[in-house]
Amino acid sequence: MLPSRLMAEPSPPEPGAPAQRAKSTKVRPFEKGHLPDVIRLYEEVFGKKGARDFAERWRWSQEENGFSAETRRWSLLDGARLVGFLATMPQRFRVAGHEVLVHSSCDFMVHPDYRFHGISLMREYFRACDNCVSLDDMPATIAVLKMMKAVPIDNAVRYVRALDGRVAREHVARLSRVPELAFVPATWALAAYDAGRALRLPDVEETPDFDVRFDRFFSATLEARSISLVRDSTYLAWRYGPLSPHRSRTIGIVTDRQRELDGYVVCATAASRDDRSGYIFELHVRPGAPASTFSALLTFACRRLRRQGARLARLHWIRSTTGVPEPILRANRFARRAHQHVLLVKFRDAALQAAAAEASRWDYGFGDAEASHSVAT
Amino acid sequence: MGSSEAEIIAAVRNYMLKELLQSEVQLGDDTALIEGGHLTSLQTVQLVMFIGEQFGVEIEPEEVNEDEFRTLKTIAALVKRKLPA
Repeated sequence: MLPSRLMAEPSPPEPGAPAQRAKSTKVRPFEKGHLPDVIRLYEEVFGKKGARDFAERWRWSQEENGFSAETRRWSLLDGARLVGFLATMPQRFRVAGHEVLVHSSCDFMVHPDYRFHGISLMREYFRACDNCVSLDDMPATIAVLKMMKAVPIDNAVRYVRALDGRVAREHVARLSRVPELAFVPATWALAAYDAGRALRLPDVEETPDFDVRFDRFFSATLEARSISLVRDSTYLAWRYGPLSPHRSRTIGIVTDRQRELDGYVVCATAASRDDRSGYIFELHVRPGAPASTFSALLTFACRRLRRQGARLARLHWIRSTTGVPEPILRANRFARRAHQHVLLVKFRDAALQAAAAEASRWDYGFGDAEASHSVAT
Repeated sequence: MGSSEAEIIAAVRNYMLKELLQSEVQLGDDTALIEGGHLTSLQTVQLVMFIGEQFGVEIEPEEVNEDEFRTLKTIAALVKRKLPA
């Protein structure tokens, strides 16, 4: 897993470390010719794998995001040297009946020698974009966002659920020497438990694509979603499409008698071989649907992720009008972790900002934030 | 609360040495804070918050730049400018 937010803010220098060189930096609009330097900087800051992932998702995230003309990008230059970069991911939001374009920062990075100057990039972002939304967990980024007058609205909480007995070996030091085979019975027990639950819950069907029923589902739930990313089948087809870092996704749906959606879940395993996590990106259910619909979708996701090799299911929970309530997560054996992300927003229009400040009106999810985060890769 | 330039410098220096800097450093009135690597973006935000609480002035995002935060002296001049006359 990559660092959870893409801003390099390493520790202060050790005593005796060489002082930084004199700098005179300028923020300039990104030019295509900067891209090789941006990739090089990414490698310097986040390592080779991070840079490879970044280069792979560039076309998806920057050129084919549905609003490529609206995408904002800046380079931080010291003379001809590129020492920082910030791009935005524009997404359509509906806020209290108004449709607006919202920007989230993505791939924000500064060279460790230019740590002060990250503020200039962030300032440019807030100056250029009227509406900014961010889900972040890096103290440095959150502090800078607050200084730019972004307001914390709510926290996202990490939930995890064991899918494979071997997670105990990975997370409990005194079990690390126990042979893997000893954990097989525990994995079987977890799988049998889920299989038993699935029999008692509504059927979940796997579907290959986001079809027109998703459009009808979002239209039907519009009233419940006062502040929400505008989701439709086109958006989801891009979000989890062939160029997306989450293209290996599985989609599960629960339908009513007319075969219309009662709810859906999107999950995928981490692309990294070092990370045996499975992520639940989306889980939305029609308001008024029974708790069993949520449980069926959660159980489906856990079983699929286990089959795909994940040992731990992860869900970053944030309050959401069509999302899974916390008690249902706990009833499905998801355990809450202390780590939190903070949802921060700044809308230039005062009425929109006032509306957005009410956490209970939000319908936002991990999958929405991950479009610009790309943590789960 | 002190409001002469010398008092502002002393308060900011004291805060930086106690709360922001992990190493034993000498912070003179004209020490280059940014070029010397003494201020990261997070430390700068913390310093801005301290200044707000200590002196009751609000530093705008546009004012958090290389010129205003170059040295303890330039920070003190910024705070002094923003204090009521």
